[in-house]
Amino acid sequence: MRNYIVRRFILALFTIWLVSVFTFGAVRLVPGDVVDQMGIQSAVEFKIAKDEIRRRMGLTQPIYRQYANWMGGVFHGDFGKSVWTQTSVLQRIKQRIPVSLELGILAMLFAVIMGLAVGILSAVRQDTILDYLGRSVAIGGLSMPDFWIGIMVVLYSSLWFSYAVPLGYKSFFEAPLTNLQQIGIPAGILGLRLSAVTMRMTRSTMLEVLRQDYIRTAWAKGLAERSVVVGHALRNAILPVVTIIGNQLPLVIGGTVILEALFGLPGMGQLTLQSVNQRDYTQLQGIVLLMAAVIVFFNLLVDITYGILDPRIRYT
Amino acid sequence: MKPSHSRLARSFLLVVAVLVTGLVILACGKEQKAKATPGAPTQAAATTPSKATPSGTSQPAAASARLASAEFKELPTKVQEIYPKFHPDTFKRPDPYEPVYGGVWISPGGCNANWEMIGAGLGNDCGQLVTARFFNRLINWGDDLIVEKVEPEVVETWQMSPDGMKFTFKLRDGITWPDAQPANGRKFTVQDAKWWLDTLFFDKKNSAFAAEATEVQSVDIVDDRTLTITTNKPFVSLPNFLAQKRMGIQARECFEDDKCRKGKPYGFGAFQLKDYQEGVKAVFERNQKYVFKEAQSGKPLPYLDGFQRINIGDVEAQVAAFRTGQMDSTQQLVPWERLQVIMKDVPGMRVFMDGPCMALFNCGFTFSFNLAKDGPWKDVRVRQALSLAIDRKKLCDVAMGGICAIGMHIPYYEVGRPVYFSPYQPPTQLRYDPEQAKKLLKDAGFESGFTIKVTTGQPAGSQSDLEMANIQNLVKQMWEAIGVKTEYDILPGGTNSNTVAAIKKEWPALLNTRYLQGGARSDISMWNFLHSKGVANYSSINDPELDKLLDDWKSAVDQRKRMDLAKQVLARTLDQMWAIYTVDGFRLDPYEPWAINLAGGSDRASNSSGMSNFQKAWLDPKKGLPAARQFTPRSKP
Repeated sequence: MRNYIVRRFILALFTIWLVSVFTFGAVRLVPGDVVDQMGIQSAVEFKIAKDEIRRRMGLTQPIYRQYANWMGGVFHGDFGKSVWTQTSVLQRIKQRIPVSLELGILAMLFAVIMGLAVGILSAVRQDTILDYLGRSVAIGGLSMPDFWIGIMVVLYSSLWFSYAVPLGYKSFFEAPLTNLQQIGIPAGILGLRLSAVTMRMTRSTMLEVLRQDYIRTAWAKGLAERSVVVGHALRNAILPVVTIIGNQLPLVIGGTVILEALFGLPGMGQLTLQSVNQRDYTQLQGIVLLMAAVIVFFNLLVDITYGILDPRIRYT
Repeated sequence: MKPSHSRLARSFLLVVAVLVTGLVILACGKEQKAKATPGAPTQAAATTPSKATPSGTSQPAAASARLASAEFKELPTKVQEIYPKFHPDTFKRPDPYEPVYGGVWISPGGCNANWEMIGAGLGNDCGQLVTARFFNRLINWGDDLIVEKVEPEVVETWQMSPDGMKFTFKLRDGITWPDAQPANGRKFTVQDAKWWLDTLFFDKKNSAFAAEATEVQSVDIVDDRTLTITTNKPFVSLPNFLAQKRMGIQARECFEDDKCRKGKPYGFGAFQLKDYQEGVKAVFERNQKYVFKEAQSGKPLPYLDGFQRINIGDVEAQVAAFRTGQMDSTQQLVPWERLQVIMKDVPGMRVFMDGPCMALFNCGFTFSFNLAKDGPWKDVRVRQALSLAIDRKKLCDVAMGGICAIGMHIPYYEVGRPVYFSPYQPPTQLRYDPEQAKKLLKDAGFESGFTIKVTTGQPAGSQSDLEMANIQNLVKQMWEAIGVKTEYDILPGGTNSNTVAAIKKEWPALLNTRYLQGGARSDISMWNFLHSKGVANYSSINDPELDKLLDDWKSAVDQRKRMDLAKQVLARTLDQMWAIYTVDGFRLDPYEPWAINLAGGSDRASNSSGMSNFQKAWLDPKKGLPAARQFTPRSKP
């Protein structure tokens, strides 16, 4: 097990390094650099000074040197300064993470509760109206994109109920009720999609497990339904579901980009979009690298969790 | 059991289908119903003539002459129908005029966390937000959105010498800096003004404008309220130059402190930056030591307690916030039919109609050619043929719902017109004549046509981008009809910028949205675009005749001569067709019924000079302001 973890850890580091190289190169391949973007509204005067500004930003250095400087900083815990705002990349990320984290956690929570509950219910009450309803919601959740649901919610809540999410983000500690109004709706939308996947996977694995001999034995022994379903079936059915939940993390991160923009939440998604639009190389590199690290870490965590949940799995 | 389950399933699906259909019908029905009922409230036309006053205020210009003009009647029918209701010159001041002190104006808009305002290339909207809306300038644009006339603001008067080379400014008395760090309410002096002008004109490190106003030779103090600017060439546009949106006066104490300048700019104006949260909002509060008064009412300004700019990226979310009264204004909305639906939901809502090139900003979708590269476009007949093949009426009707005009670099009033050029009855050079186009191509030796590669931007999701996509497709079809095959080289990113032009790409032709450059000065802007030495002459135009016209225009003092030269520049441009102008849509900006003083307080740079600085805007709590936003009016200003 320990050797496995070490091996996976080294592989994870290698993956993150590859991501850093790819990100570094890819953002620079997009036509129009940060200096061009800055000149959007003042192209005349800017044209005169932009070579000088590129030099000041270090963009005229050879690409390998720029990469080395950046990586050197990363190893020292310094992700550099945003080329657009000249403020610390890490500082900006730190400001944004709590919002995305809150959104992500609420969405995952919603997804897990909804997905597991409906999935189990669907499986246990197979081919009943509850099953059909649950499956319909799941199909609906899968087929409707987050941003579309978001737009519909925003549009029709204002049209029919004269309600719009309160403006200007407030943190949970500043104004809990306002914060929940601001975060709750996008979290629900994001969670709906995620829950659909979880629900379908839970239902199918539960159905498979519920047909096993040992479950029939449990029923024959006269165990209560709750004990059979939760104690015996769910524990064995949940493994693939955990994998799915772990793999949903990138979806959460991806989904927040649009939903944060839609609901005006100052999270990582909004910052990412802004950095792409502004060709803010250092900021974007920092975000992608951190996100990659988080995703790789979560994948590692999921794999390790396998061993804990299923004693039959042995790592060599 | 199975048959029973199947029945259940069928019943369940039936119920779901009925529910979904019902919801869809309900939703569509609501929109349809609203759409079918035009609900545009009509604004009465104001007839007060435009009158500049030393305090920088003026009444909207008379609309009647404009509306009665032959040129107005040439505009698309839909424009004729909507324009009289919503154009700013038809807005009337409330009568009796009793502005309410207090309240906070809220409008949408993001900021990019960089507050530097006059530095090279920092064209971000945060800095411009402050300078354009909240910091006073020596000279500013008046409220008259039609003629864009500059008026004194921090100066009391100014004079230009007959040769256009010396300007004398007399400052107002009694102006103080805000009661906050770093100037702490001290008096605004002539030394402050000189330092600011010296920085603007001569500090090449910190001021992008130093490279633009090379004519300026010196700034000299005459007495404690008077200073002069001397130039080495006639610089008739200097007052306009000083009225640009980034010209808000800043304090030396802050400007010379890097942290202050970039972090929390300090200047002189009706409002001061109080709080800024990146990606969330920018909060401004009233400058309590502001000494300006509204000329017509004699009341101290500003009326509002503050202003907030809230970041909402999505247009639907903005509309929802507007519908529910959380915002006083929202961004432009098109098409007209959609706006009508929203007007049904927000009774008394007002609309500000803005037109192409009036804003000295967005001047329409334009095709340009790279004359430094060999190709058929180097022959003027080919360029003329390509222009004649474009049916601008169709572009207007299809891409802009019939609410548009021809977008050009030179604003219509510079050439003495009362309104924009119409795509329905365009100038001769811009008419639709495919037969003549084919003939010209034949004369130029391209009877069988050719292929042209046009570099352009990737349409994203904004209205402007959708218009761009339509124009790309329609023009492609129109050119194909005369045998010219178009291939678009689409670059990623939006199209609302000069990014496309800024990218070092060897483009033979370019389709992008053209902006007036060099601030709000048409002569300088056109010089930059079209002169062989112009820094924005991306097309590599080299025409001695045009160069001379542009040089003369830039230095002409007499207004009539300037207009005549502007006309000649336009005529030469249209004859040579270096840029093929197409069309540009009118913009419609919604305001809540309680948001008063649209012309003076709209949250948008109604022209690129950003004349709207909120100091005259106010909120009327009695006109439906939501309970959550009600405020107790201040009794003392």
